[in-house]
Amino acid sequence: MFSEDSATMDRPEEVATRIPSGLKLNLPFRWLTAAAAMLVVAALLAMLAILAVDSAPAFRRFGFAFLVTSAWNPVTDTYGALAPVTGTLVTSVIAMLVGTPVAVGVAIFLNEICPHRLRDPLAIAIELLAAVPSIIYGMWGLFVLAPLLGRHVYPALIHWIGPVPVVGALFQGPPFGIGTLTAGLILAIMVIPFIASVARQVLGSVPPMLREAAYGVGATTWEVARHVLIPHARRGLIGGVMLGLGRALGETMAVTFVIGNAHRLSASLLHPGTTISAVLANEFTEASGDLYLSSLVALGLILFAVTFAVLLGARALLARADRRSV
Amino acid sequence: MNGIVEATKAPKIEVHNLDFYYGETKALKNVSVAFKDRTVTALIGPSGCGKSTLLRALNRICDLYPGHRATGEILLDGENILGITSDLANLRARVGMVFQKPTPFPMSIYDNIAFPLRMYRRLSKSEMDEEVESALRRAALWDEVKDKLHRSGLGLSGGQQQRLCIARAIAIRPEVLLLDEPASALDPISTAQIDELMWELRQDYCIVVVTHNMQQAARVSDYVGFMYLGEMIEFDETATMFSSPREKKTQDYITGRFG
Amino acid sequence: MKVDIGIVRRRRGINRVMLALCVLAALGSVAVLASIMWELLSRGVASLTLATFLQPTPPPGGQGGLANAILGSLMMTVTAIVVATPVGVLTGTYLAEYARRSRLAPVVRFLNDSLLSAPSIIIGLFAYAILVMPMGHFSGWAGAFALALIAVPVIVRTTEDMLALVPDQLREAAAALGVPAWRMIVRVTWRAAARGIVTGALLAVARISGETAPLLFTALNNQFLTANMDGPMPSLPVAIFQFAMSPYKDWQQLAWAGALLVSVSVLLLSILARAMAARGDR
Repeated sequence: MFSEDSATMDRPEEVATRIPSGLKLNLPFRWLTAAAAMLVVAALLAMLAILAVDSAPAFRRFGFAFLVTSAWNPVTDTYGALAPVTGTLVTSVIAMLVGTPVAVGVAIFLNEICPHRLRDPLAIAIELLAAVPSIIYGMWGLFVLAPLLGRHVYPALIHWIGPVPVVGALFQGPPFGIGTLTAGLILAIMVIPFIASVARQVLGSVPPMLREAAYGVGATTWEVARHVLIPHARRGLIGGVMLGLGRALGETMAVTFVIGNAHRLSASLLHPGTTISAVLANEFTEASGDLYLSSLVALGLILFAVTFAVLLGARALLARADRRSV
Repeated sequence: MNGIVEATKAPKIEVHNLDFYYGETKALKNVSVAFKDRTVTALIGPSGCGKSTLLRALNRICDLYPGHRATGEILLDGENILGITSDLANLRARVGMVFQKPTPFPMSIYDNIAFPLRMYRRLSKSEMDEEVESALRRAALWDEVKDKLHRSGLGLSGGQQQRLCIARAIAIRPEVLLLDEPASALDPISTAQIDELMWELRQDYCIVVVTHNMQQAARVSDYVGFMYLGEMIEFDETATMFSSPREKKTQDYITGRFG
Repeated sequence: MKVDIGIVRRRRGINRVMLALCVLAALGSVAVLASIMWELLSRGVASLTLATFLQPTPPPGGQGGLANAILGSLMMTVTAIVVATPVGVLTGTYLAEYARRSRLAPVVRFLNDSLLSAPSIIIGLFAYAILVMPMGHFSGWAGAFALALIAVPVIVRTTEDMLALVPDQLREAAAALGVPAWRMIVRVTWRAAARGIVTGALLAVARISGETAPLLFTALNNQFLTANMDGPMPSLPVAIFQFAMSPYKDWQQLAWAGALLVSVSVLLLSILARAMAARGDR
């Protein structure tokens, strides 16, 4: 529809004579773009609506108990979300506790320590980590990380921390290598490139003069980072962490490979567990019975609500960080 | 209001044949100059003449950026600081710096001063309180902030923030104080306060100040260096410099014919 | 000033330890990437044979390749991107060109971001509910739809960002010549932002070609070579999942071969997208 006059673009006088025909298309084109935008809006709203409608039977049947009971039994048709919800939260918390310091360390390394020649190649390598599909992380976790942890790390944890009161309860059981902790660690590895990338940006946006002033009073590189760069960029950093958290909460494949998929609550992080997304991946296609399906959709709705809330928080913080740095 | 400069004052910093490069660009060309102890030396010249570069070489803050490179000699009490390879932090503790814009750290007013102090000295709570108070008093800021010491330094006005930065710089008792256009972002009243402060501090420090402002240079300094295109064109006592400069370029600049 | 040497020494020690940890963090991250690449190459290349590309996935106990999964992935990815690109580009155009001061724009932008960050398994759930259930069976169309839903917000985002970088003078210059708005957008701003928009589409392809979760209950899987989008369709990621989780050595090897294919294409696409974006910067 626009190809016929491609040769005339360079000659304005000819374009001018064609305006009347072009003008007619102004409104339709505008409507076309608006329609596309409405499609995006409709998709999200439809998603919410369908999740809400399809999960209603489960919520009606179990009520609030759905959130606080852990029975998950297709035979008796009773479902409680406690185990997968706990699993999702615990693996994500592990991911954040391990991933955040490492990611900030990576950002400090890239921004403050790394020789300039290595900076770009290393930054690209770390960003490529973000592009690796999650199923690859899952396989790597199952075939490389889990055996490594099960053979060399978990026995030591069980031996040394296991007997400690309270904390020891987290490290009990046989060191299979598969379980909640491994899933959390895989998630940590997956969110590191995301958080590191945001951290690099916000730490790098600290005014150069402030950074110079910190070095100028004789502070060491670590002191500059710890007392000046990080506090100055904290809002943006937290925003980045929340973005990472959003990913960790919703991640499916990597977790499904290594968590062991056991519908059972256990204090030990070394035991198999499950998450919302892993339950969906494993059971949805095989679920029979309306209540079973509805309960699975209800899990999805909970997951969606949590990631949505995290996104809201991340956006609010990043927006405020942006305004401040201007 | 320039005092008579005693000839006995020893040079604190001696710069010999300093060349400075930003990558391929040569920003300082064979600069040689001496800054005496307990005097204020002002560096003037049009934008891009190298005065800030010279200042930033004196505490090697320029080392933070790759490709910034100095050759020649900068002697601080006879020791060539360009030769230091490991402990730049120690050098920067001896040579304090205040920047064009106020740079309060993202912490309380009190901690802005205590943070650098804690890096060098073990002080009890009461000793630290004293040190903080004394630094703030010397920077003529104490009366304005004594009731809100634990509030963020970012809540102060621009002039107050700049005096906080001066207090922070002098809290660790450096030997040299470098000021890079310290009043360029401030209103006239704050500028006057900073000028007065410099004149006070002159009794204890070797002060080097970069300024665009001829009035400021004339009022606060004992010596003036005029730089142009990376060279030190003329260096003399302030009175001489402003009354009878030797070089035509200097005269043109201070009378406002260019720059 | 009296400097307490003990304090200075301690600070230097702390500095050294913390910086060493930062270096370790970076080395660790790079080591993970290296380990992943190493495993993929060492295990994947060995299992990659001509049969991998020519034979369909094996029945239990049998021999086979990944031909049907590769075909299915290609068909669904291409369908998804063909649908998602116009929708994404038009939405991005609406946001950047028409809705700049409209109160609707922040809403659309926010919902788009929500879609962007929605867990991909939820997208699969949605596709299941609105396509698989009414149709009564799993299908390639449903898989492609789920993938498209993941690709659209990526393309919207980059398109809007890229159009925002086009200087307004260019738009004014075109308007001053009396060029109608739509033609100005198509001819001037789209063209100026073309490289960025293509980059966005490439990133979207990279993103969806590794996606597994949204295909699990939309396209499901299929053991046979099929080009029928109206029935269950195999895909590389789902095949990898199926075979990697199996207890058989030869199936696991097939999974590694598939993983290598997926990773190499995703990484190449990301690098290509990066290179295009970098050239655009210059």
